[in-house]
Amino acid sequence: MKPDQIHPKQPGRTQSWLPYFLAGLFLLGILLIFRGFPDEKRFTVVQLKGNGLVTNWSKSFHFIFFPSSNREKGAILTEKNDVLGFNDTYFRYQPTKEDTLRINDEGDSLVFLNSKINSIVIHKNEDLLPWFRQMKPEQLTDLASILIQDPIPESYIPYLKTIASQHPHLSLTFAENDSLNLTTDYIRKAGFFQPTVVFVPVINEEIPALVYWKKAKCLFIVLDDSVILNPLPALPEMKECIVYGDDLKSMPPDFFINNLQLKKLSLLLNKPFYELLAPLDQLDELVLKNGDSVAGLDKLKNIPERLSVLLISGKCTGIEQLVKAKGLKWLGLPVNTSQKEFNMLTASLKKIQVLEMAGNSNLTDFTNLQEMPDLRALIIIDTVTDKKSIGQLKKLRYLSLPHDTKEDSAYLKEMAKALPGCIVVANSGACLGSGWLLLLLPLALLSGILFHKKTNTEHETTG
Amino acid sequence: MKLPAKKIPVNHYGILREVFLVSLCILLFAWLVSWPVPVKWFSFLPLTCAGLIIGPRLFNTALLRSGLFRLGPVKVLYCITGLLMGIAGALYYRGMYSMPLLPAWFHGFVLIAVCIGVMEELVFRGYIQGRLQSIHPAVAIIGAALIHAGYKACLFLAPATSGITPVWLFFSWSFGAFLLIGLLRYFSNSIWPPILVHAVFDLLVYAENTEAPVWVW
Repeated sequence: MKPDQIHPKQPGRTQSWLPYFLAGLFLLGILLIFRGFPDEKRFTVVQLKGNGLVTNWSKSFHFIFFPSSNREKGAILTEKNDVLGFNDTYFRYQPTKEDTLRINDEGDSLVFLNSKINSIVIHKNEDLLPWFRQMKPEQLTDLASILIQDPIPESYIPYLKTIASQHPHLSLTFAENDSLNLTTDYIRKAGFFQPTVVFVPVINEEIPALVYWKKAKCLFIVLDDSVILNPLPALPEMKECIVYGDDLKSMPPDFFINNLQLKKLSLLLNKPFYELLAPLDQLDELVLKNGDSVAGLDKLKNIPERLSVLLISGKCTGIEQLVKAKGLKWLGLPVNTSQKEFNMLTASLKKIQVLEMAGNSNLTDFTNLQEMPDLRALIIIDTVTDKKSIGQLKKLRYLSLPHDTKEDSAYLKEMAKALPGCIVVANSGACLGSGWLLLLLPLALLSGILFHKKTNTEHETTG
Repeated sequence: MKLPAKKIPVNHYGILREVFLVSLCILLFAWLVSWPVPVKWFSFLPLTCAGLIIGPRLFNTALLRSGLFRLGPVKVLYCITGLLMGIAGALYYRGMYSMPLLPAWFHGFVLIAVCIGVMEELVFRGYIQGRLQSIHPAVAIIGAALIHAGYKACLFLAPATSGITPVWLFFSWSFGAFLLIGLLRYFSNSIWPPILVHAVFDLLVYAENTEAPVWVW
């Protein structure tokens, strides 16, 4: 074989302007991409390993809990600063380098997150003193919360002061205690923390005292009374409020009147108290639970139009009014959504990235989900009434199915094949070739070494 | 002895035969590698054949004299162009898949992803386009892009990976991108800009991956 001419048809110097032109063009392209894809709200799929139930309290839909174990990971959707609950532990989610959070709360007094202490549990049956005596600052680098289940022993106070000097803003969770108000006990003995997240059960009379938590960015209150008369005091730092109450009969319409700055609100109640929402014009995320009552979405007026997250658990009327909420990225549909309303919403709300719904006998055709260009996560509770259409959603990165579906291993295998990369958000894309191609280099080098003498001889002969 | 680089008659038939054989081997490898074992192991036979054919070309002194790996001021400019092209492509891809435009983390797997991208450029833009260039630049650019897009598509034709992506659409997008990279290789007369495009693209797109997608191993 004769040797070949090497690159005889190269462009001349006349195109010396070309690299400048191309570089400018691609630079412009990058700028346009940044304009075209502004930094929008993005959800993260977080996988959890540990024995227990996990939920995202900031985005609770029908109180779904996701089971996880040391063998099988649970996975939930979350955004930065959402309040996650794992068994009795609450913490605000902060993105980490690892996509799996390994939680260990099997000890009685310490909860570990990714092998580092995340929470301290104060409980009368567990003596923390021996641990306090030998604790070192480097052990507490990731400490995020203290769970107070019983009155704080006086002997703990010096150690808690030390912790407060290192972590003044960690979260405080107060458990329900029939014999003593743990919050009052804490304030009396150990009020040297300035927590950013506070989980606290309250009765009507205690609501004004919540002003104590003036540094809280998130307040999670459990209303133990059925009649609430007091509004929340002004908490200027508070951006998120989660209100839980399962036996409420009345609430004052001006409950939030001193906190108009609220951005995220969850009303996890037994009745729809939608009049509370009227003064809140800065809301961006709204989670509503109505218990067994039927809520009229017309009472929300134009609130949904300003929201990026709206999750509604329970039965509602006026569902068709949600078509005006064009800015929604995360939507949880009422349980009685009809096929007609579903089709109308999926055709109108093109920015939806996460959709949560409860399968019901009126909703049997999910074909329209394919018309939602940004849909990346789908959570179906209760019943999957259209299994076939889900397999067509190739852009899905997270899919959560009801527990009984998970026992249908054939269907799960079918889904795993149809939706590769689902669950873990980063496992997307198909533009990467096979890794085995890397073997070509040593093979070619070996072959080259073996045959290079012959090739060189050929050259020399021809030349 | 001085090697005459420009006046040697070109053996078009020989080049075509060689490129065809290598391409066939690589396509066959791509189709077989995602099958379950033991079929998977047969994929290494065509890969070995491709390596045996390409190997002697690595030690061809004329290849090094061709300037393919040399860097001058203009080539540095083309490298910057390649860098920007890779960044633009990756950002667009991430935006389309609702990922944050800039990765938050870089996991270890990204090094393998970058190596795979570099290897592909060495094979398709370096070897195949380089060999076909002596026939005609257009044949070289289009041929290399077709074979490269074919290689990618073949990865998703095996039973284990079928249905992951719409193959024709994927082929078309890949072909378009590889044409652009091929043009960059032609105008720069250097392999570095295409390598930079692909490496930067893979670096940004696969930054957060903790493990390889199913078709990689």
